[in-house]
Amino acid sequence: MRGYHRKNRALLHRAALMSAVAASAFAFAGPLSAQSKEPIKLGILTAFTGSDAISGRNGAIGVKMAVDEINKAGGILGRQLVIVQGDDQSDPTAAVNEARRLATQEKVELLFGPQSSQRTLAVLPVLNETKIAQIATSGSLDLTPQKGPYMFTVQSNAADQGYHMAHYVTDTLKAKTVGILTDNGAQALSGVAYIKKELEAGGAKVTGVQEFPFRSEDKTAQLLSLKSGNPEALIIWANTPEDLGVLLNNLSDIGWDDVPLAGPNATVMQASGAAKIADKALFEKVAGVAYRGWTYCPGDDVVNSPYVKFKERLKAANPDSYKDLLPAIVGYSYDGIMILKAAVEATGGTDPEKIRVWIENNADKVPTVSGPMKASAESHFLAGKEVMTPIVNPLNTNEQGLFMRADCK
Amino acid sequence: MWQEYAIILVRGIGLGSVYALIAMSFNIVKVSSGILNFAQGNMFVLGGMMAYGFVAFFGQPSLGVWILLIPVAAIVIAVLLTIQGYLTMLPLSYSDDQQSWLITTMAVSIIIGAILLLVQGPNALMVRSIFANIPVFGMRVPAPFLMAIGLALFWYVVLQWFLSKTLTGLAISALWQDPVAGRAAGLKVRRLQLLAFGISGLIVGSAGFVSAPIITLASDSAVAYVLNGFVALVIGGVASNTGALIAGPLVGVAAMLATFKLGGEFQGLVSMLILVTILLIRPEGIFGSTAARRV
Amino acid sequence: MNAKVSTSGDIAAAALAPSGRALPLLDRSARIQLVIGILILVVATIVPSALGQAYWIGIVNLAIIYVVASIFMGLLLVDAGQVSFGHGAVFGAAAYAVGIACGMHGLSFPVGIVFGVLAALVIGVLFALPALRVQWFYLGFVTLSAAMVFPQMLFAFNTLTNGINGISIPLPQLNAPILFGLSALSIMTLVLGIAAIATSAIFPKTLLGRRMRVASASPEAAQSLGISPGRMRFIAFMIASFGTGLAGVLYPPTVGFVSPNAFHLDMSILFFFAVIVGGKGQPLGTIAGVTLLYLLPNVFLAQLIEYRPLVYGTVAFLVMLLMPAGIVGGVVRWLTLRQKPQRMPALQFGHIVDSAQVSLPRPEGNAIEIKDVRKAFGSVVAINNVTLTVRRGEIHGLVGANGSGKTSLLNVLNGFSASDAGTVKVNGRDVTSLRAREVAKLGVGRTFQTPRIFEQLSAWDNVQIGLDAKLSSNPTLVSEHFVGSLRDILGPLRTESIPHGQRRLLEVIRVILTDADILLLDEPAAGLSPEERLAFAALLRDLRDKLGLTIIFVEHDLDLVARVADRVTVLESGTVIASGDVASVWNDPKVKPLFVSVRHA
Repeated sequence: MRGYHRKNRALLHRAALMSAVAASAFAFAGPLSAQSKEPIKLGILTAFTGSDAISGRNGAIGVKMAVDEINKAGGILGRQLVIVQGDDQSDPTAAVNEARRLATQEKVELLFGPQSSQRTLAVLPVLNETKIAQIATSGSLDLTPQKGPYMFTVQSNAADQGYHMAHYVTDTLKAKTVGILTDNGAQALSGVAYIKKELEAGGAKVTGVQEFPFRSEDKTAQLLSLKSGNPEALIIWANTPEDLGVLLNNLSDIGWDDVPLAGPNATVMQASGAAKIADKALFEKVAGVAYRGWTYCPGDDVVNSPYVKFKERLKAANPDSYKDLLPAIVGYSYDGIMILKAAVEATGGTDPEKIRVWIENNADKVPTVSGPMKASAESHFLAGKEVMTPIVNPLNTNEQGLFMRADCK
Repeated sequence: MWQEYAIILVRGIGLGSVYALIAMSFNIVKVSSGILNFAQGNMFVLGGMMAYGFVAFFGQPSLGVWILLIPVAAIVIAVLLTIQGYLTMLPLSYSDDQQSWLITTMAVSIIIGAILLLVQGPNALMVRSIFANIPVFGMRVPAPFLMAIGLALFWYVVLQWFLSKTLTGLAISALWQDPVAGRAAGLKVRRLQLLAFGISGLIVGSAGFVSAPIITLASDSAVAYVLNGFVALVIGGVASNTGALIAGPLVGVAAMLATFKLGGEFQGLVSMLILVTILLIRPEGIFGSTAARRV
Repeated sequence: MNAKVSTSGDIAAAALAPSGRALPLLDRSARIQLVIGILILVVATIVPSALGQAYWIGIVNLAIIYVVASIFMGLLLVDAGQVSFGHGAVFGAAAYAVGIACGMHGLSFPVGIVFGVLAALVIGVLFALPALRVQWFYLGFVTLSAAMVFPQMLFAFNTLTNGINGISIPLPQLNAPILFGLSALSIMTLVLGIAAIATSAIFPKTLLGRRMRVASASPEAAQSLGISPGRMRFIAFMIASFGTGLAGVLYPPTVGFVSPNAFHLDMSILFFFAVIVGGKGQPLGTIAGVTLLYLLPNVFLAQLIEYRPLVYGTVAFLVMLLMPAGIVGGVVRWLTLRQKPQRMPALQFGHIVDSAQVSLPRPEGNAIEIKDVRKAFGSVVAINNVTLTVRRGEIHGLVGANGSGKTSLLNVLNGFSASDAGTVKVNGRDVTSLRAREVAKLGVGRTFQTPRIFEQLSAWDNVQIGLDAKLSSNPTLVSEHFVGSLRDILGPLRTESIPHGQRRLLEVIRVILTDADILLLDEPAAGLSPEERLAFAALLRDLRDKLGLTIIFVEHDLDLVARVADRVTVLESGTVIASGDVASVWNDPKVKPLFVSVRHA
């Protein structure tokens, strides 16, 4: 108990220290470091509180890490980056207010966030008007270049994840009957339609669809109901580690642990957390969808993988809290900032129009840790279908913490 | 087929027993002071987090240590709740505005949630049960489900005995019947009310600790427990522990059955419908007594 | 004095304005608060627009919209006594209707407003239905669960609402400056804000506002004044939904976007907190509440990020701990406490009925005929086959020990409880199955064992509600001069300053003012001094002789009964054991032994 508190007090202290550092950086960075050159203000607009705080905070850590590295290397075009934070509270109203504050009061030139589609869609009118280049981590297919010309997103969307989950089940597992279980979150529910479509295309029949509330204590009823349809495989979309862990435990409790499971990107990220309450053996039949950068096949050069190097730097920068972080989210957020940085450098400024054109044509030239990213004038999803790939057993990582792809020979 | 229903029944009753425990903890405070403590949900979560804390510091405890830790957790939460009760009732003694508790208890709930968010972040804490799963009808059920049932029965018996057989308990019951008369009869009303807050802390503290492996321990999970506890309270009838003991499992089983037969998306809707139906048909609850006419 | 609202009250009031000096519509505190509130809104709207700060324009508009929604939730809570923890759903429904109409189907904003208000009213009806059955925090929890389900429903009906992706509502023309640098949206918001604050200040002083407060404070008293508490609740929900709906329709142009997550539980809780933390029933309260609970953590301390919820909770907690009446309520209370304690001059009973009034001939016939009435509560028989007749223009005493069924009999008489058997006739008309407020409209007035003087109403309004319930447009029978001087006395008085002995009397006056010709008085003389009892006895006689009223009163003071009653009925265990003129009853051998106990009861 004491240890628990001590750890948290340490965390608190560090948080306080960090905000003090951020504040002083905010106050002094300009005159001190950039030698007469104005710093570039980068806004972070994510959920630090509310239901999406986990991914919001991890995203912010990725941005801070990228900014630290960029500033240490002399900034962008000789200008230091300064972070201004806004909390969207997982609430679209607050997101719009904070977007206005960052854009018109703080006058940020670049923006990271929001990380959920309904908030990204909400702030787009504000940011389109003020014309700010933006990296979001949202996955709604509504985020078209027409709606957000200066917005790019590094998050894989529900359709692409659904595509890989469905095809893993039909192509790799060769299952003919499939049950679908999702949490009642927006992303998972919107994914169901795509999953069904792809399953049908692959010749599989859906025997049942069930959902559970976020972080509910028990999913036995849902699983028993799905089990009555007797499917050969399950597609399970759970976004939190406790939901995944409870699900695996419940499956084992009702004696159904031999059924293979396919999960989304979240399954890959949350598996280690879920293993705190679920036995490792239960993950053997679990598959997930990962960014290519996180994966390997036997024989790859894993030691020099950019993602592995990135995780080492992340751990060095956050030694205490590293085990609570989701390096995957931190990673693609980091990538987003690096792409933005490359665009600013290449275009010689923060003109959003020039940045847009540059990223649409050159994103794949930026070295990223999550995998090769790419955009086009038609799609601003930097992590498209090709960037993602199914992996098997998210706990069975290699020495460097990489996941094994499902398509390895 | 019947095994599936049997297992749903067992787990539903187990989870429902948690709601029953929360409803009973609502009851004793309500009976003594008329206050419905919204912070009870977060106090319950704190009880569960203590289980996490013990494990994080000492590692998985042995059975003996674990049993000894239950009263420790209960007492810690009881102390917290007594302090909260004292603060909540402070303005009631000098103001004729008697509804400030509505805000203060909600505010305390928000404050605890905010502190949890600051201290431990948005992640949920996960506790592994020290007991093996128990085979029931060819399937397995985690032990905390069954222990929650046992704990609900234990607190029910203790409360019934306390409220009907001890002088202090009778005095607390008397406050519910007629607080003015109670004061006139020389009862130390404030002290009894604080005691009731403390007892409610013993209940939720022990409940949170024992059921830690099967509940969600996060900064924002308390609302669901307050709501489900309240549904159990209303269905059973305010002030009736017998009602709470029966209504809690009823709610748990109904929600699970709804999920099994209709789909998980109807789980929340079903408990809300039960609540509204009961309120419309029998507002005093199954075991509640009809309020007397006010003329 | 707000006489304009009621036609009947209008005539009555006009007929009796002897001393001329009408009471001001609003008391001093409400007037000052109203002025300050309007000033704050005007300045807050104009300054950011003048400086062209888009962020602050948006923040101020949103804050005013929240103030308006909170004000109408407060109206529901304070004036109608209805707890809604789910008001965000009403607000969200209006906002979403505008989103669907304007954002998805390209309709114009005025059309959107109509849809928005209609949607809010629909949710209002859904909330009002359980309110007819359950009250207080039970209702709070029902509305709370409705508010939790609301965003899920928005998602579930995604074909209609565009689901999780929400709806963009580009209404740039509303945000363009049109007048003094203000946009149409800012002007609409400001006007709505001022209207809402004015409503919150004036509404309690209207006929409807008074009736609502009576219905909320005591449904029984309301019914005895002919008011239907159910209808009052329903109207309250409709008014609150209408106002909140107007606030809700301004949300989409202010934010530019609607999505399910914007209208979750936190918004409802914010509205509720803003009302109580700011100060229930204070016109300035919600402005203070929204400033402290919304602007402080979300705008002034936006940089605090993770600490924001902690600030929110702590502010709410500390305010309620230190000022249980809320910020503005606390300040007002502190200021009034510094005023001198008020003393109410004793009312002169003798002046209630104009001394110039001549005695009327006693009317003919029976005012009340009770036949074989029986009423049981479970196994307890409260009234056992009671038969009783009261003649018109008679003072009839009801005596008996505690629990002998006196009050129960009054309750059956005026319709509070339905009898199990038997018939009740009032002025020859069968009222057995009528409800209390219907009986009241037949001219049966009623007072209560514990006087129903409401602190939610001003001192004079406690009497005014009698005039509100006036049954005819005839000039009142009560002395005009007395009413005028009573208004002068009560006008500046705080309700809590009315001494308890006077409260019963005010209640009697209130009932007389309704034009009731049958008065049911439940222990009207309790708490009066011996001298006051004498005056009271004279008053009862005046009411009978000069106004021709019929009076039935429950009384323990047998001397008083003997002094004024024409006839007496003695009840024991729900049964009439004697009934007739005072002398014969007093000498009845069945009654005599009871006297000892009755006298000492």
